[in-house]
Amino acid sequence: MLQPINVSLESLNLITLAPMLVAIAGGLIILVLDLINSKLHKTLYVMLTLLILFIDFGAVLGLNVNERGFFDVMLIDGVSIISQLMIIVASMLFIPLSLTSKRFHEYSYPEFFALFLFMIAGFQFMVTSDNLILIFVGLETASLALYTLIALHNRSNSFEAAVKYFTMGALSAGFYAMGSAVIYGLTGSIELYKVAAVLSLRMDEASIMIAIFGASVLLLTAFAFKLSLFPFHTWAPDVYEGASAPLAGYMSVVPKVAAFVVSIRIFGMYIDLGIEWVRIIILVLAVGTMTLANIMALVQEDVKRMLAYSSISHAGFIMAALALDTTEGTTAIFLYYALFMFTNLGAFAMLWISRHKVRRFSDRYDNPYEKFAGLINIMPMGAVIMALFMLSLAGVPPFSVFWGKIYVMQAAVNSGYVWLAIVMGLNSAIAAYYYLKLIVFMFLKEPVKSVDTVYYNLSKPLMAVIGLATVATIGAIFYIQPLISYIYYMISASGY
Amino acid sequence: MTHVITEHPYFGVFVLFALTAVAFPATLAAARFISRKLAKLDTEKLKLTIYECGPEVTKQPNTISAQFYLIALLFILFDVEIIFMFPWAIDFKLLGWFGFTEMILFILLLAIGFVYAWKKGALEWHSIK
Repeated sequence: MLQPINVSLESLNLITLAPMLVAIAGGLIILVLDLINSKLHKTLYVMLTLLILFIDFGAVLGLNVNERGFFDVMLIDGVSIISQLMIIVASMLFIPLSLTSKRFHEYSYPEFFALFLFMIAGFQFMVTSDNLILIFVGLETASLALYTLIALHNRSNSFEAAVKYFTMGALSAGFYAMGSAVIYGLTGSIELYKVAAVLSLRMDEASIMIAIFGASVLLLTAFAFKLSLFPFHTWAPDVYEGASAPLAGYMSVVPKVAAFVVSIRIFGMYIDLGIEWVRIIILVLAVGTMTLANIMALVQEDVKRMLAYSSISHAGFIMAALALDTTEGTTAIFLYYALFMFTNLGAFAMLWISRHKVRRFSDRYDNPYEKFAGLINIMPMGAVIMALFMLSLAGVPPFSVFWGKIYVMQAAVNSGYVWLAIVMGLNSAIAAYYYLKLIVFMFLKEPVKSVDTVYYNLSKPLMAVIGLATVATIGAIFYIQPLISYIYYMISASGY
Repeated sequence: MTHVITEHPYFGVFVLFALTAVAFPATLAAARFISRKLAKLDTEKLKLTIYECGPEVTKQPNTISAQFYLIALLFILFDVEIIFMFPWAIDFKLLGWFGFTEMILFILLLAIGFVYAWKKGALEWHSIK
């Protein structure tokens, strides 16, 4: 006789689900509000989204480290809490950028904000689980919402970008599913901690090694697509170019943080098991990514494409930290993204305020270097802020990304990879060229005549966001130490 | 018994390099060679027609309304919902209150989607708001 299944609410530990439920409920509230009254202004939706993100932030802060919940599918560890906080903070910076002075197609739909919240819920599911199926569901929820958000920016460029991203994303999702299937076939489990336990018992069997090789190549390909690592990076510049500038900045941070968390969980497990060639492949990918993306960025004529290649190169930097698989290395990943987030979103926001409806400078590009020529004469403040962001991205000492770079290099040297630190240093030197090129255009060249001002989209909320990013970029020296110790504490608490 | 090749630390890199350096250009070159040299370049009518699972292609006399796709999408959505509800209904007593709450939540979420589609005019012909 079958007994009715009795699940007590305490054993479910529903609090672990609270942040995602807040985001999903928020998305539904926005949809229902639109159904009740379809004439509400976008400002209301922006503020509502911000409020929901604040509640979400609080819900994440209220979680205890190292808990499991919902039939042990959810895993709340330090990594998941930090990454959720970063995802939410980046989203809070992103959302006010929709309050532009000019009207843009996508923000007139409340669906934009609902999809945005569903996407955040998807990313949160992705980082708070070590169950391969839940990771997959989170990945797909977030990605599908993101494709739609890109396409909503109603230009043929954006449709192209969305379709490209969709094709690439579908391919990488397929790779991920196949890799997970191989892992399941090997170990009979989809929970990574059980997978690690089974694999560690059978490490001496040669057939297992070949199967692990297959699984990890599939998974590496999947995440290399998501993280836009060489040689799977080719979609990134086109997609960033087609997406609206703030969304491009957002895409270079948040999906990558989520994908890095999953990579830490999966490839960290492999490296811990002593499978040394996974580390070597990751190192090769990382060095290839940072070097080739840097060289590609040198020849770009468009600032947005240059920033896209630069963000690929930064992802390569961070991938190298992943290969170290030390607590310091994992700390470096999150530290780097926490600093990079403000600077990069700020730089893309600067492109956003100079967005024109039609291409005035070039038939091909929206933001060619000529557009910023002589910016110091037209908008001195904007030129100085943009220059600050560029110097920070180049890794000039007092600014934020410098601390990330130095921490990654320190982690590399401490794990005995001196050559890796040297490669990173050389790459930073190459990267300085194309960042300084923009500064030269802004400060030393004459403005292109017959073209009116580049203050196009500027409004108070945008100024606030850019100001916040500037403060975070300049003031990094004041908060870097507490940030490092918080991240280090969280990561060592979760055992990475 | 150990497999020397697979356990060598650089084995993975070697395979990756082999794939990128040899297999990829080789595939491209082969595809190019086949399409340039080996392909039959005559243009007969049957060859140029679009393959449509056997039957001969006819030109669509009228365009298909986008509304059909919306209806089809909604149909699939609620179809899948029913598939999920059948096993729940059969094991209703076994799943108890927990299953009941889960299903109510599930239906609630879908109901919001349904009301949304309805209000937006997806169910009416030619009246998407």
